[in-house]
Amino acid sequence: MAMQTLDDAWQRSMDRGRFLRGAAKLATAATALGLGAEGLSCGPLAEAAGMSGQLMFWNLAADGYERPDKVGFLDPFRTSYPQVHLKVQYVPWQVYLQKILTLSAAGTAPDVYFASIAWIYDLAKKGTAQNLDSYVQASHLDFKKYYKEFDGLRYPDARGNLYAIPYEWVTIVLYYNKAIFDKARIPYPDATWTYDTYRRVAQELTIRQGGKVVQYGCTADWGYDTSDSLLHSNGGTLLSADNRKCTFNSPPNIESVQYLLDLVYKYKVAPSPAQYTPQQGAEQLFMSGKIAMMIGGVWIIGDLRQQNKIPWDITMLPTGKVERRVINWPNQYVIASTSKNKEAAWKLIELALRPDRPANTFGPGKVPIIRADTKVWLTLDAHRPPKHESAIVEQAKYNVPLQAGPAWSEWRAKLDNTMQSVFLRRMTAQQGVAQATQAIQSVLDQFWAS
Amino acid sequence: MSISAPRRVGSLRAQRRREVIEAYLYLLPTFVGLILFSLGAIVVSVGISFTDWDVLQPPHWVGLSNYVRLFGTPLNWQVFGNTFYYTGVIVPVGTALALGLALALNRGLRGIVLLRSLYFLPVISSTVAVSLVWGWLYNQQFGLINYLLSVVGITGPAWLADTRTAMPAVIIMSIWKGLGYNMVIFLAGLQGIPQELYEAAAIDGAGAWARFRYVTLPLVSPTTFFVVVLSTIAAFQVFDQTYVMTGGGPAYSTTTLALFIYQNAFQWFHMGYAAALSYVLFVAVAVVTLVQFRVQGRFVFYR
Repeated sequence: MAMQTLDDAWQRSMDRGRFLRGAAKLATAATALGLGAEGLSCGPLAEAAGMSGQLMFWNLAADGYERPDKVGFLDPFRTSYPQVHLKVQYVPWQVYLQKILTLSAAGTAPDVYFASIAWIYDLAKKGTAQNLDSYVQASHLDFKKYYKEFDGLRYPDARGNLYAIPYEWVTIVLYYNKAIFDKARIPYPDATWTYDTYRRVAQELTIRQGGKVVQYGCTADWGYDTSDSLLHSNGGTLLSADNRKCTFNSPPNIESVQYLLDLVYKYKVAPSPAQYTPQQGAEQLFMSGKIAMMIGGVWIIGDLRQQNKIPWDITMLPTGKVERRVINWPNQYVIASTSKNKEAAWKLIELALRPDRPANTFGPGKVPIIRADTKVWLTLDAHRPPKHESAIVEQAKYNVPLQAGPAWSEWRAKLDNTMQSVFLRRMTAQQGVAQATQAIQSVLDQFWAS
Repeated sequence: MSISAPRRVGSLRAQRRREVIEAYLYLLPTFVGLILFSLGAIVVSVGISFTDWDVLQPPHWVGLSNYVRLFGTPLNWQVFGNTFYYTGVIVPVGTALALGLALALNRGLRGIVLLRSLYFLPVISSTVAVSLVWGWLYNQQFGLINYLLSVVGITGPAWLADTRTAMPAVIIMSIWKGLGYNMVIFLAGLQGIPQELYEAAAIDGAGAWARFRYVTLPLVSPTTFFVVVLSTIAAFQVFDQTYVMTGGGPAYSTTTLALFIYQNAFQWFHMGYAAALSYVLFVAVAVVTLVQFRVQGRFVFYR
């Protein structure tokens, strides 16, 4: 009881305390001053009837992310709502979330902003993101025409409220070096492949000289983008449907991890993670022609288009023990719960979802959320590789949402670090999966208890 | 008309008082800054370490649970171990190499200034930039280091991607980066040793080793102590190198305390826990520095 009183007193003092609020505001000012972002200020200041005032829009300034303002993406908004003073900021990835949260703490978050799937739960739980259900219900947009990538944006689970609106989605594909296949006279991978085919062909394409591998058949590294689809294809999951339990420790998952380990250590057809550097990954080896096949995210398309050393293409991921399952996740916008201009912010989001959004405002390999737009988007890319970019859309029927859930960046870091030990053979697949499950569960418990 | 003595004294006192007030007024902005942004932050962070503050929601008092959790989690012991491993290697090795380099460059040869400048160059280079460059040098497939090793028939390891070599790789880079700074301090120390002491030792028949052992080493010991204390404090706070080169991996093998604090505070927003970790780091640095000051009497010779 005494403890309770002390807690309450402390709580009240902290709630009332102006110091922290002042500190947050100071931090906000410092953050705003320190913005390493390119700021654009457009549109007249007007106090006309209807929507007016300032609207701050933040997007990522990361490589591979579109800068929609550069291709006239926002022009229709400015034309339709000239009284709204639209300001656009492009902020680097490394400091993006930090800045959003600092500004949110001071009540001055941008009105509408890009948010990664990894943050949605945290933003929703902390009350930073606006519940968008009423906006969706009142909208003139027909959401039946959109890809159903909304589940991961609902909190606290897939049946909860919607806190973000996706404008595009990304997924994982199988990249292959056509020259290596041609030289070995092996047909290119296609939709009939299973993970057994993947291993068998990788064995055929691996070349050894003097006991040393000079050409690997495939990749088999650990990461949400490279291994999660395999887990799902073999019937495994990472989290329960209500996002409260870690379900990683299961026979299908252990089998999947063992499959990847065998590719590296038993069949020796994939490089070990020790052969990559943290910044470069398998992509560099693939681009240098040392790997025949690579499983990776569609964003690599942009990098591969920059080189002309290897001829390459993409296809669907192989089928697993259960069926073909490919993880995907959307990119989306959030409206700050503290925004004083929510109506204008929603109009901007509607603009991002409009059926006639220019196809060149989507990043390489990133699929527009409106189904009809994908045809235009594919046509736009018809003259450049990959030849079978349509595979991204064709495999959409096998998509399963990336299991991000709560505190994703924390539990994923713990999972990946533990699995690094497995892939460096410091522990077995079984031990690693059990240890990682425990670590993830402790993060989930902490999230739901707080 | 002359001014009487008491009036003159009173006037001097008033003038002195004015000067003191003026001096304090000049100091006031610094005092305010120090109290608000340094002392204030320190005091607030002590309070935060007893909460589960996540930046956005009001902090909840959790008592000592952050500290209890901190010592009860095996991962934290690994992080402490990594930090002590890094410090335990980089301080003695870095100090010895810097002293050796200073001895080699402490002579009036042609071009010596250029050589000293070259060794100092890494110090003024951005740690982030050199970390990225070293990341490429360490690349197992295409890196220069493994290429040079292969020339002499050695297959180089996966420096940054293997738990056994990642920390040594970070240490090698850090020593290279900090060598010039310590070298300059040692050069200053060496140049303060009177030449006649060496001449007297030579007359007594002391060889090169004896002169180093019985003249240089004792007389440079205050400088060595200074370098060791500063290097230890810096080593405990290592962040840039591990953040850029390895991100703390693989498998936490290069996660040091400062990096872990950053991850908890600014990636996972466990401000309370991060604040508790910061105080553990503070105590560790304070204790080690205190021990160094306590034992210096046995090793440091002041003229």
